[in-house]
Amino acid sequence: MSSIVSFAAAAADRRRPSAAAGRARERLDVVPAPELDDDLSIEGLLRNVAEGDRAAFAELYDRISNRVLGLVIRLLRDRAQSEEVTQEVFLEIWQSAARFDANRGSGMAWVLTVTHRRAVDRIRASQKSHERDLKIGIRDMERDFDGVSESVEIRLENERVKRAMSRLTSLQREAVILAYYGGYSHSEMAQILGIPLGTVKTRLRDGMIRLRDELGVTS
Amino acid sequence: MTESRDDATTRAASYAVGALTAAERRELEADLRRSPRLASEVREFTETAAMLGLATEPVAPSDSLRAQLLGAVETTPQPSRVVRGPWISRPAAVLLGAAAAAVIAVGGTVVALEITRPTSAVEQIVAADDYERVVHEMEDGGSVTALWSVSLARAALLVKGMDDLPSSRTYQAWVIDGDGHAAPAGTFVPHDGAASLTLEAAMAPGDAIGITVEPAGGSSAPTTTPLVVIPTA
Repeated sequence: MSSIVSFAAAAADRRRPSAAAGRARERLDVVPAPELDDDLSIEGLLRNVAEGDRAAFAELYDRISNRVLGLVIRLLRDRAQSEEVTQEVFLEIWQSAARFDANRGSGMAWVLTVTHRRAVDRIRASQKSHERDLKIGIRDMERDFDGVSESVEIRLENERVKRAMSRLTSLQREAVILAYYGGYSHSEMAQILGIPLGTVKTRLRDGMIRLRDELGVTS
Repeated sequence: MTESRDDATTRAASYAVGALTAAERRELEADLRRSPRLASEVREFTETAAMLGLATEPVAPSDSLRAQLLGAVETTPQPSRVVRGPWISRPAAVLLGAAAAAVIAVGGTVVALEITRPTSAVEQIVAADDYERVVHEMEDGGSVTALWSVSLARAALLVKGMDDLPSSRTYQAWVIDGDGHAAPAGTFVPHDGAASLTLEAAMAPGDAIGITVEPAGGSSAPTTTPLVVIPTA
């Protein structure tokens, strides 16, 4: 499986015009915006949802449902299943928003953690996951990181993520991509890549450390 | 907990990108409270992973998903004030579908939830542009939620904590117009104190919604003082 494409090399060749400005603006407000009134931040909305505030729930849904579905579709590909998972994610948010603790991380990270987990659970519940076409997965990734249809802020995030990803070795990058965007477990990855489990873990760890440092994430 | 730096970092990285099995995941979450180092690594890697999540192309869900969800939260109870568990906890098992019953573990307590798929009428109302709702808290702790859309001329009631009635009696809803005329809008029998009802009478702007106790089978005009009258204007 050494033929898996190195996304950075391929992505560098791609140049696409930026997205329509209207669509971009429409998506601006889904980025966590610290300057917003506290009640309107993702964290503030989650706090209100935890108190049973249905209007806050609707607001939260309108703000982030396209990010949730975007990530789920990235993992599952199937539109109908992805909408189902998105529904599960929001019901889980409704029922367990009280568990979100702003001292332990951002609201968006909490939501995306719930999202990623639900999508991965869905993949693993179906045996088809083992047969997914890796190469197609990686090719889609290049498109995503090209970031053409993203808003200004998201495109900026994307640029940062792209740049950060390019600082990983190709083996680290492959491991991070297979795990996060492919939904593969350690043992599946070891099997696919034909390497020992310990090596998978090490690559993931080193890749994530590099990403974290490049993206400037600190506690 | 004395976990080596390397070990905590390795586990946390795999956890954040979802590469752990369900069993490994639970084990790690149980360790979070005992190991500040692990918790800190998990926090950082989770934020890092979220940036990967935000790097995917956003996709807008269908309009029907929004309507279904907003309908579902009207009828889906939240667990009563949850004991704070670890930041990231095992997701609650939520079943969707007609009257699915789910049992979820919340901070060590098991809570049974009845999740009723909303009726399409409620979905239509909450999806309307002019959807409005009022919650009326009863003195005895129950509550009546009125939902309506003037453009659809439809309204629904969701009640909680209502007393059981003898079988010779029933609750009845009314749509009351500006002149005080009450049109019968359907009867209901709460189950465990809760019921939902799409009103049979059409709503006009300014109408009020009332509930009375009537003889079984309902009445053509109210025969008792309303328990509650909710103005909609």
